[in-house]
Amino acid sequence: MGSQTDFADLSEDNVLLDVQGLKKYFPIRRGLFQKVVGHVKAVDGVNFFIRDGETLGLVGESGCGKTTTGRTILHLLSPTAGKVRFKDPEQGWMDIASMSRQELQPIRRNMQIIFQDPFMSLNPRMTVKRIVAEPLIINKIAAGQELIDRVAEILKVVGLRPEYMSRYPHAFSGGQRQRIGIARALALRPRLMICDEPVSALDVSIQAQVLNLLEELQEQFDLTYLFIAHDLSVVEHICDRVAVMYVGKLVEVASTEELYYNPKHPYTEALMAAVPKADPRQRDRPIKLPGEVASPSNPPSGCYFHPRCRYAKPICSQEEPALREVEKDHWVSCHFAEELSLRGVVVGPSV
Amino acid sequence: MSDQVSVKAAGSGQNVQQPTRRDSILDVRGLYTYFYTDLGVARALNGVTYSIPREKVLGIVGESGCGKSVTALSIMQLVQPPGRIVKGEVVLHRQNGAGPTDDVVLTDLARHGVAMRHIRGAEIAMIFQEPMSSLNPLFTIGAQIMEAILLHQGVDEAEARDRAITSLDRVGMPSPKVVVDQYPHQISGGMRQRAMIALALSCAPSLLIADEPTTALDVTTEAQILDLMRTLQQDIGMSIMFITHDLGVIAQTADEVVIMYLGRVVEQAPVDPLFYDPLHPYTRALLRSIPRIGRGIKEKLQPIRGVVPNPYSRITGCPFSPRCDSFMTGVCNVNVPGVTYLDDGRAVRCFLYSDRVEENG
Amino acid sequence: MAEISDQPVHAAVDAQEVSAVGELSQSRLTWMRFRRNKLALIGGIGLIIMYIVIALGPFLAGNDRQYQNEDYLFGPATQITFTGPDGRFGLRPYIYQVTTRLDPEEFKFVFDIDRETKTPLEFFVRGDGYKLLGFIKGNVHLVGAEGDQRIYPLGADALGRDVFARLLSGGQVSLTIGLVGVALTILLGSFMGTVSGYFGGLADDVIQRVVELIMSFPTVPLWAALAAAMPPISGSFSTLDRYFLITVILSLVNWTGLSRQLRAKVMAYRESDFVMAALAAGASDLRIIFVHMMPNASSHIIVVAALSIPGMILGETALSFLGLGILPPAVSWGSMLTDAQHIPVVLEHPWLMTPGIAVIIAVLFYSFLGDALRDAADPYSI
Repeated sequence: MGSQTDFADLSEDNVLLDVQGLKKYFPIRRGLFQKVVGHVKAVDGVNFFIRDGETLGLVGESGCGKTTTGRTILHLLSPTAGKVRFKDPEQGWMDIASMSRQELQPIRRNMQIIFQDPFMSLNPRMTVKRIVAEPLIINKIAAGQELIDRVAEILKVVGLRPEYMSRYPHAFSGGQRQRIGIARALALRPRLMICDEPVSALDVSIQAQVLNLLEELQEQFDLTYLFIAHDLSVVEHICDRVAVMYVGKLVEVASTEELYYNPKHPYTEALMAAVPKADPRQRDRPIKLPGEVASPSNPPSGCYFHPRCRYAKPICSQEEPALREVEKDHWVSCHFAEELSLRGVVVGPSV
Repeated sequence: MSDQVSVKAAGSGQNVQQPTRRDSILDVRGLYTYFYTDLGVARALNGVTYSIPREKVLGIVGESGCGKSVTALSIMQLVQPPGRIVKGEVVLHRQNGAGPTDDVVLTDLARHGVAMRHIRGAEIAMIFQEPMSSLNPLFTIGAQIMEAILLHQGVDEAEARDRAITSLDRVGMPSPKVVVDQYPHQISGGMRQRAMIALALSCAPSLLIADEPTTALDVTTEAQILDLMRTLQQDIGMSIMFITHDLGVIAQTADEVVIMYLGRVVEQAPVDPLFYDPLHPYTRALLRSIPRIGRGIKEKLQPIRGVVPNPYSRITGCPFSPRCDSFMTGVCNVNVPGVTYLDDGRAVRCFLYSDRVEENG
Repeated sequence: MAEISDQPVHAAVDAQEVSAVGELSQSRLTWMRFRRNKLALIGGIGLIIMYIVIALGPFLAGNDRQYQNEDYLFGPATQITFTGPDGRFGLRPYIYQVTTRLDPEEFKFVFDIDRETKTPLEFFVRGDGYKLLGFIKGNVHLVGAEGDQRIYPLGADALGRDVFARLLSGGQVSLTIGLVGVALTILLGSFMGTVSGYFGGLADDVIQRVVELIMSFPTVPLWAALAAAMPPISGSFSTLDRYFLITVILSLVNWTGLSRQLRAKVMAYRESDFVMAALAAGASDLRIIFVHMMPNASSHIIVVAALSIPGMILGETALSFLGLGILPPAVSWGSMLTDAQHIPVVLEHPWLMTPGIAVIIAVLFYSFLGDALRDAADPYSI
């Protein structure tokens, strides 16, 4: 039994995106003739779905493949294998992963992306007006005065003064630049937004502004979010469901509450225990995870996590566990998911 | 407010009189550090005063532009031109055995002088955020640690190598005898940060300044490094000044906390009262605006409105006033509040607690 | 789908501060920083003066550059005095009468200066005809003397030609060849570098190997070989043709450096978020290259170009010095320096070295400019 399980009941009306067996491998080349000697398996067979209007969090530590997953879904990187099915309201289910550049062009407006780094995500040579107008120009949606009016509207929606549209990105603070990036993503009125660590590079007091903005925009524009992040506090706040990745594979997918307070995978348990809580009266010792995160170019046999797992048994090094539904809407890839009783986040007193 | 509010002058450099600390290893008094650039004068520090308690962890919290890193650099006399310390002093209370402390005024020492260089590394050590750029990629881990040992401890190479390995072992580095000969790019981020800590500890400093040491690390690695620092601090009795923007890390690590905003200390308190009874509006707003794991319920985040002003701007009155919920017209936008010292080791800079006005530096 | 409402979602707008410098584009910011650099000012103004002077060359020089004065072979610089024939010091410049005679003992020409006979200098005199900038006909010169006395501010060469006139004329070649060459470098280098960096794969491999091949040739011998292979000056192959071919040869080696640097930049931009955003919006490759990447690389290109002009000037000087570049009747500073090869000659007639000084000054000025540009470029960019 492989890790590919037919996940979503696609006849369900409210599934917007269905990812099946997504793989993205990067070749490793050595030698004079650049021979391919191996692969970095950044994304190694990932299945999940996102419902229309919900926010799915994608978490994991560095090298787990979450950013690559986001970009591969959008076909900014070409998938090595797998299907990415998007439900277009008129045309029904389409597999983006197998489309060519030309075929993709009209579809792209349905899904957009917000980036992490407010400084690299905006072209320093373009004015704000040009940056936000660019998607509209490329897709020939508006021109001339109408274009300017549209840009002004979008800027207002994200909380920026339209008068600033003739300025260049370097005039703005990190939080404002993120807003510009959000405005750019919104310009095409997408249905799906990939948020790739949108607040990680911002000051703590600005993070709340941008998170609130994202939540309000979601309501106002019926947006669906894939929220990629490493800060578990932020993820708990904004996400409806969360998926945990480890070295290119999904280890657990569940609703936020279930994942945080009733995790079923040892890695999730370790993650939750490691988050530093903003409460001096709750100082727990973390769970010691021996070793280092496995390398995606040379992962361990069987379950990738077994060398560091304190519940590991012989079968874990031999057989890779499949991602299976152990409770309603709670998916885990662990041989002992049903037997283990793991510790979730301890609810603290109200501060 | 209690009757024993001791309201003293602050921010004027030489005569700062805060209630004497029972035992601090380092005092920063009325420090002003300015950067003179093409775009204007950036007033990075505007009269910063705090003390690092001996054998405890002092957390310095603030957002970008608050000056937390600059204060560390000022202590170490590492502020490079066009920046310089304009006013104020930093005093190190060196303990020689059981007798009274030997006070060294660091700001009086020449920046490049022998005395200061001796203190750096041997008495005060610093670790940084990005272990990859703080470790020299051309030298092995062992070579870099040995460099510090050879500089300060006057032993031969063989002995220095042994001490380096011991240092690595003490920070929980797996296979220290192997790692000592490896290069930074050959080991992981968490291991590099451990190497940095080993390097910093190799000469047994009495004070460790850690500038965002875990910000670039994964959460599981971060938890381990924080645990390590706590253990080390308890085992060898080292004082730590821990700079970060992450309130969760502060809650887990610090004994006392200093909150900075735009180059000034706005609140200082032991960690429990800071989280459970914050005084300064900025602290309160900060605590309300962060998502906190484990609340059980989803609360709406309350952001602090506006943005942190750039350091070249001059704001009349309290620098936080444009963003403050407790803003009082005619008071907060006229003068900068002075520091109010409360008992139980707390201090706050806000007109809600006194009329004290800052004396201009 | 909800419509965009009139109300801003956030009232956070009020406390926002946006820096005023944000209205300025990168180019303006670069220019402002550039202007503040003192050396850049010296270099820039110096070069402007040089270019004006060489453009006005034939007008400023008293003699036609080709005119061979048999009576003044290796003649020294004309001395100017401000003391009139009546012995009073005034504002009017005079020159002395100079006669040439052959010294029978040392078998050399000697120039006797008759300090009694003084001829006043006139301004705007008629003299040899010329064509300014190639098409404006005239024969008025800035400075001249009555009668048929000729003025040689920098002396004369082995054939009795006015060194100053040749200097100005040679400058027209030496100072422009760099500009034309650089234009070719930019075009070729940018194109190759971008294709290499953006598309990668086979195109990248091929182009890079070609670049490496070209770069591994020793430059001067390569230039020399190519120059020697050029046909001689004839009816079908004029000096102008030769001039342009020389610029092509010079840029042939030069473009490789720029292409490599641009390749690196393009490869970096390809991964950057703002390019990904354009891709996500459906932009084509051409659009990404020209609208998104090139403007960011432009400052880099300009700096590299400015810094390669000195190399071109020196290259042409070297080629012409070796007799492989500009050939007579055209003149360049390099070809003038061929006369200054022998030490005894130079010791006797040091004014033959002036083209070398001119080259040094021009190269220095361009270096100042290039350095300042490099420091000023891209204060906020990637």
